[in-house]
Amino acid sequence: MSSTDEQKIILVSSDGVNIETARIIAERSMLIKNMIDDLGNPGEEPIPIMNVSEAVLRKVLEWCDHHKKDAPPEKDEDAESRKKTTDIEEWDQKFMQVDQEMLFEIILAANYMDIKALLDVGCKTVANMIKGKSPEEIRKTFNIQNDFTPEEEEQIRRENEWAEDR
Amino acid sequence: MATPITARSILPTLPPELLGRVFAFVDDKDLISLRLVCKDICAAANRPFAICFFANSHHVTTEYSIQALVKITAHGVFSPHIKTVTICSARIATHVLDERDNTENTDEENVESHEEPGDEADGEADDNDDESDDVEELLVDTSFVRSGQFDRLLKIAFYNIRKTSRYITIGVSSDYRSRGRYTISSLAPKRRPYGWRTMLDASRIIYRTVDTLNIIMAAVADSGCQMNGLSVVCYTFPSNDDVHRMKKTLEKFFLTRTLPLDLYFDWKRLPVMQYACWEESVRLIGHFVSSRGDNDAQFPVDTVIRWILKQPMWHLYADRFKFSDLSFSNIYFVDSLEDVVLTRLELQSSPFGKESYSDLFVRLAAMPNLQSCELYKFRYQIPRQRAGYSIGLRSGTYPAKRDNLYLLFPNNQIRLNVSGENVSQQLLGLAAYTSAAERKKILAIEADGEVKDPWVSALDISHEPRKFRDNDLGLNSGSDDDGLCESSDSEEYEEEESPEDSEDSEDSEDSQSSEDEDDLSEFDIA
Repeated sequence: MSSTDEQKIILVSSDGVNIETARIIAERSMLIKNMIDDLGNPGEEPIPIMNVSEAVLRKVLEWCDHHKKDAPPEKDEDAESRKKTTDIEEWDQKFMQVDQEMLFEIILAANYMDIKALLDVGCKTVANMIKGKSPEEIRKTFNIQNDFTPEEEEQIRRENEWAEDR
Repeated sequence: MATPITARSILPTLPPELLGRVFAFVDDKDLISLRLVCKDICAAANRPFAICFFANSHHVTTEYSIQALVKITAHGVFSPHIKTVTICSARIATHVLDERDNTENTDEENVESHEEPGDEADGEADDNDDESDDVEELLVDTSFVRSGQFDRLLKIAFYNIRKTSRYITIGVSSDYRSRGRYTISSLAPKRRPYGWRTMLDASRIIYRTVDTLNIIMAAVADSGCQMNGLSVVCYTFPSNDDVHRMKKTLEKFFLTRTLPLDLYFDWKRLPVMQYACWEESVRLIGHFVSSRGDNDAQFPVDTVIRWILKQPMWHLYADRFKFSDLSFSNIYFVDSLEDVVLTRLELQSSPFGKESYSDLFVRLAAMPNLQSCELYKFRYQIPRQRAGYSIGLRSGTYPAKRDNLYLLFPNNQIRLNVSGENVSQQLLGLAAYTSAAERKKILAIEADGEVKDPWVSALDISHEPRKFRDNDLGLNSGSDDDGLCESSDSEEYEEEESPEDSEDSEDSEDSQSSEDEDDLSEFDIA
C-alpha cells in the first residue's frame, strides 16, 4: 500500500504538457485508476488525458490532492433523484471561486475523468447560482440570450401554470 | 458565490446529461424559471420539471383542474413521466376553506379547521362558503360530474397516458392536506391538487369519493391502461350507504384483480394499510378500531389481505406483515389474519381494553409459527430470574409445534427466550398471569376511583399455574428496583377511548414520531 502511495505517474494534458503527480492523487479519477489497472506498470508510460488542458488538469489535481484521503465514492447513486442539499464544504467553495469558463471546464473534466465528488461540487456550485433567481436573472448570470419568440414564451408560461399551486 | 460573468454563454452548451445533474440540485420552483431562460435550457429542464411536477399528478373534480390534466397528458414531453394520477374529490371543499384561512390569515371565527368532519360534513360547509375576496375563480360548474364531462375528460386523459405508458397508478383522496403515512412514494401525492382554489365555492357539492373512484377505474379500464397501484384516502363517509358502496367497489375490484399492485388505504377508522408488491410487504399502521368490534370498519383490510394471500406465485412470507403503532385489538378484527402464518410480530403500541395483554398472550399461543414478538410498550414488571430472564420449562407434553419464541420487551430491556416444547402452554400461563393482574387492577380502580400505581410488579410463570394472591398481583409498591417497567408516574383512566382521535388527525403527519413516544396506551377501563 505504501509503495502505491509514493508511486509517481505522469499525465499528459490535451495541450501536450507532462504533469507528474502521485498515483494516489490521480486515482481519485476513476478513468485514470481504470487505465492504470488495465495497463499495469504504473509510472512507466505517461497517461494521456485527451480532453483536459494543462490549466484545468492542474486545477483538478489540486482538488484531488486535497481530497486524496476521502473515502472512495459510493457506487450507483441515482443521478435522477432530486437532491435537497447543495451544501458545499468551505475548501471546495473557495476552490470553485473561479471564472465561469474554468468552472464549466472543471465540470466537463470531472465528468470525463470520472471524479464524481468533484462533479457534484461543480454542479452544486452552478445550481447555487441558479437558485431563487428569475429567468431574467439567470440569463444575466450566465450571459444567455432569450431566444424564444413571444408565442413560444407564452406557451411555456401556460405550461408552467400547471406546476403552480393554484 | 460570486463568479465573474464571462463573455461566452457556456451553460446552455453543457451536454444535456450534465445540465440534468445541475438541475437535480436546484429547488422545484427553480425548474419553473429555468424553462423560461432559453430553448436549450428549457429542453434540458423539461424532464426534471415533468418528473417533479407531473409524475404524481394531483387534481380535483372541477373542469378547470381536469382540463389541465388532459393537456398535461397530451403533452408529448410531459406525458411519459406521469406515473400516478390522484383525484381529490369535492369532499375537501370545507377543508379548502380552512386551508385558505390558515394560509392567508383571514380572520373568520366560524371556521373550525379541526372539527370532526364525520358527522357534520355537509352542514358546516354552509357557514364557510361566504368569503371570496381574493379568490378570483369561484364559480364551479356543479354539473361537471353529473353531466358526464368529468367522466369524458378523464377517459381522454388516460387514453393520452396509454399512448406512452401501459401502467398507471391511481388514487382518490378526500382531503389533500393530510399527506398520509405513505411509505410507497409512488403512491403519495407530492403537493396540493392543481386547481384546489376552484373548489372553494364547491362546498355544497358532494362528489362522493366512491363515485370518483368508480369513474376513475372505469376510465382506466376504458383506456386500456393497466393499474399498478391504488391509493384510497377517505377520512369521512357522508353516510353508511357510502361505506357499503365503497366496500362493494373494492371487493368487486379485488375479486377480478389478478395482477400485483401497490396499495395504500387510509381512513380514520382503519389502520393505514400499505402493500408494496415489489417487496411483498404489508404494513398496518395505527388507528384505534372501535372497541365495539365493528367489523364493517375493518374493510377493506380483510378483503385486501385475502386477495394478497390468493396470489400463490408471490410467495408472500408471513413475516412481511409488519404491524406498527397498531393496537393489539386491531388484529382480532382482521379475521383473515388467521390464515396468515405469522413468524414475526412487532407491536409498537399498547393495547387498550380490559384484558389486552392476556388476550394477546392467548393469541400468541395460538400462533404456532411465531418465532419472535417484539412488544414496544409492555407495562408489567418482570422480575429478574436467575441469570437473565429466561422462562423455565415445565415438564409435560404439549401440542405446540414451535420450540422457540423470543419475546422482546420495551427497548430490548428484556428478552425472553421461551423455548422447549411447551411454548404455547407457557404463553397461556403468561396470559393467565396478566389476566389476573389486569382484573386486580380494575378492581383497584373501581375501589379507589383512581389509580395510584397500576403496574404489577411480579411476573413469574416458571411454576405451575398458581393462584395469584393479592400480594402477588397487588399494585406495585414502587420499591421494586429491577427497573424493568416503564416508569410512568400517573396514568389517567378514561371511561372509554374514543375510537378515533379525530382532533389530532390533521396534525398527525407531523406528530407521528412523537406519538410513538407519547403514551397512547392508557388502559380504558369501562
